[in-house]
Amino acid sequence: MADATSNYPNKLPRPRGELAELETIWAVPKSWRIVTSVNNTTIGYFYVGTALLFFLLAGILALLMRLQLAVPSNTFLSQETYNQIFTMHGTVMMFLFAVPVVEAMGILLLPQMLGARDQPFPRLGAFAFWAYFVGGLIFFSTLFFDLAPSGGWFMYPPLTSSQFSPGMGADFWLLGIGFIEISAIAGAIEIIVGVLRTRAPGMTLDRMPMFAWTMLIFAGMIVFAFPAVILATMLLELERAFDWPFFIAARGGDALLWQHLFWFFGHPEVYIIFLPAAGMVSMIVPAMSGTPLVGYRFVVVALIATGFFSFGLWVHHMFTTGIPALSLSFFSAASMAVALPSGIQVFAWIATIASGRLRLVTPSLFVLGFLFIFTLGGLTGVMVAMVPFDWQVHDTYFVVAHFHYVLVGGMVFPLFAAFYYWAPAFSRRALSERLGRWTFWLMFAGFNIAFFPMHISGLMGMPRRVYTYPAVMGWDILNLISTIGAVLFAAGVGLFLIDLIRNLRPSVANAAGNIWKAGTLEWLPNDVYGPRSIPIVTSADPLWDQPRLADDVEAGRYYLPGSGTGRRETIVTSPIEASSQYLLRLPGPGWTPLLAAIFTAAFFMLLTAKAITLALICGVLAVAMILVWMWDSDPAPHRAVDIGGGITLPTYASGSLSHSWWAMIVLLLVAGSLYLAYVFSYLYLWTVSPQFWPKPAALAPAASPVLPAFLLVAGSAILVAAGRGLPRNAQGRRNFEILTVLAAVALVAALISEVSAQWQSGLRPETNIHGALVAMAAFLQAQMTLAALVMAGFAVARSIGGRLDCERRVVFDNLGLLYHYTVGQSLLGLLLVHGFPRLAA
Amino acid sequence: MSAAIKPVRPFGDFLRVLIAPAIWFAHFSLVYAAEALICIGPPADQATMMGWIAVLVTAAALTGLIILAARLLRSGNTAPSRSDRSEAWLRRTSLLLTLLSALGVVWTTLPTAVLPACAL
Repeated sequence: MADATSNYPNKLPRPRGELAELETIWAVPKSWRIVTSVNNTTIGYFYVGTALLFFLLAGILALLMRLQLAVPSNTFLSQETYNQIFTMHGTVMMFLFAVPVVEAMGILLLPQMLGARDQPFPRLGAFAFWAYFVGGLIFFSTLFFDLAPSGGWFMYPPLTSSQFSPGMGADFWLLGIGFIEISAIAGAIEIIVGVLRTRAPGMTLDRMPMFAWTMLIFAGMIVFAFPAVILATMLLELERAFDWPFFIAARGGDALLWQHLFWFFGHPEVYIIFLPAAGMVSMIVPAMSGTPLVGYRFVVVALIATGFFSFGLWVHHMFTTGIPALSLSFFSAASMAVALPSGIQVFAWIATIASGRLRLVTPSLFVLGFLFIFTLGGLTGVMVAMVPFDWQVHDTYFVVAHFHYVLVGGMVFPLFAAFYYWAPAFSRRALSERLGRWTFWLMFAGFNIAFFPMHISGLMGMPRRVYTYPAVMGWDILNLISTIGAVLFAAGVGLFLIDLIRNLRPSVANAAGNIWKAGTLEWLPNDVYGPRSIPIVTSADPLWDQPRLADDVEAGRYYLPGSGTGRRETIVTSPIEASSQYLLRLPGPGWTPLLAAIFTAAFFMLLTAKAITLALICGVLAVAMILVWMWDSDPAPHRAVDIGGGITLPTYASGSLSHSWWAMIVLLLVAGSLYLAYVFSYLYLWTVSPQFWPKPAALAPAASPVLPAFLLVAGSAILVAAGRGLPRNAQGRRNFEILTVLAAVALVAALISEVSAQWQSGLRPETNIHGALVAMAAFLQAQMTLAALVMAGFAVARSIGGRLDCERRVVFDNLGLLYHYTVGQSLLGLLLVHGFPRLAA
Repeated sequence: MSAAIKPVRPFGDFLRVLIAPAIWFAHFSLVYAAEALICIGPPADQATMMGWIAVLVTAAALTGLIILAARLLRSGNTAPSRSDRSEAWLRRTSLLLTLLSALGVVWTTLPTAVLPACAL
């Protein structure tokens, strides 16, 4: 296509008014109404800005800690305040900065990078942001009311149980973090569907920008890792609130279960943070070296391998917990093996730098700083992967030094490189090169001065999380040096802020532009609607291989140079070859995402404050807001649209072709992961306390699961029948509605039947771990049943409103997926709680 | 550029890339779970059982990876046409991941040869 200048999809000149219409349709709401915007650029700016705010807040907490530790026997902070501060520092950095900022960069960059007009679910993206913004601010403000958690960022029980951590601090952590995880998962769904289904035509998987690859794997890892910690927080909150003894050894629970679940999330979390940062580096290095990334395929292989290997490392945070040596060795081996794919990436970057000519500008400096610091962090990582060494340094400052080298080196430095690199694409002015160099050197020097001495203080035996130490320990000089380094690092960040204030002028339409002469699509002339026309991609670096591409795209020569339906829209393409499939109509600005987020935040926070009625009202309102936005999100089919080049695309798709179907599948993978984490917990606790499992005679009757199982299967069959009879006319509509209601009733009846059988057998959740686990199975079943119920009601309402029929059926398709999944999960639950104790006996 | 919408490659073709690392993960989970279960059984049989399970699970995983590699190599013998560029790319990526996963399987199993089961 690059040389086929006479064969463009659309001819010039473009009709008068076409561009003006596009601009009107995509106009960003003015003044305070900007909070109703759902466009990825506005939300992206908000998202990145908020994440930076939390980075600064958590950074201030770090400075307070460093001031406290600068001299021995310091009384600047009390012990309890220090505990709250280190807990909040870690929690905010990990949950409110590191993951959200990566999602924020994804939401800001990906549509432009992929040649899409917006994310596939703009309201979901807006909801993810506002949920994070509101929830994060409330969570952080607990510090000012002495309500902040103080059990460390990983909140180990029994320290965090109601016995040893009374008060609301731990509850704020458990519910607050649970809420922010919802935001992360919403963002992950958006990213997965966006990367797989909204790439510009021709952008096959092997032409996809490396940042998109890393975001795809990042989001996939969130889907499988976050449910484990969501389950963990649910279990601990249920224990604290209702005395279900999941972590209480006297009644068969085990505190180590928390560590297993937390680190099954927590270790992949390191790579969840690192991989997108590596993706940023893989974009910056080729652009700054003026040559394509060396070993593209090897880097993709390394990313996928890292994603998988990272799930086999969680026990390396638990080497001192008394697990058998052979088990430790499995994890030790996997911990060393993960160095291999990481090394592949490092060598690919070095080879790229060597094969081109690296311009030593600020983004390159941060990349070089990243390579130096992250490699050191990786080396100490291999050291702590060796069990005997880890036993010596566990819970010392050596580990603090190690993970800061990995996280700050592996994530913060690439992020700053990214800020300097991509600022010209999203701001009228680039950031200052002079200030940038000062920022880099202050941060680089400050970081190493702050954290390198911690290796030594750790080897000298200084434990983590102590609020002070006596002078006789000999740690004072090292700590003073670390504090000086921290202040230098903060000065670098401060300089960066000055640079932002002086030079950052957010704008996509009038951005500074491609000052680095980079080769990927985000450097096309863009507006809030992305490129004027959607290009055909013929290589991984299209701007290098098609020198006229920017001009042709801006002139409107490529696909969809205007609006085909008079609404916001983007092209949905196939996941592998990126062939055009249909035109997705997107929603415009609205209040519902913001209100849904506020009510969701209120639900969680009021629940923490034990204001149950108010919490429930807010929960209902949150669901209502989401339903209101969903009401218009499945518009009736419109006539097919000619996007140019003789391609006419339909404006509606259902079944597996629909982007919505893909989102539901990803959501169900989240639910499935959560349930598998529960099954793991059940079996794990049985291996720990088999004596608490009752004899078969004491269980609910063996025949009792037959009725719920029958109801579940019958419900599925009824829903299938409802789907076959999707309405074509009024009579059909009535049959469909009756069958859907019947299916919903079957699901509820199955739940009631199971719960009453267990209750009649005398099972009580607070008695022992078996009772708690059986109740948890019912709780998880109830959760899915409620979701299916709401969705069934929504489908019936749409049918009554004439918005659901045999053609316009996306809502029903999604209900079907959710319903059948719920049935499958419930059947597995019945098998587990009724079958396993009998088998084990 | 074609004016018609071409039939597209199913997403399952991409998911096949993930089979090899999934085999590694299954192997890893099985040997870890096996030790956890064996260690709650009678001490006399622990070492023998762990040894046998490690051999069987590893052999199964490696067999799976070898079959996968063989299928990928066989399907690659016919030179891909221009329109099959995506398929060739996915196949070669799968092959590399198969190799890496095989290394992972062997590396993870090595400790069973030198360490006793269930010892603290």
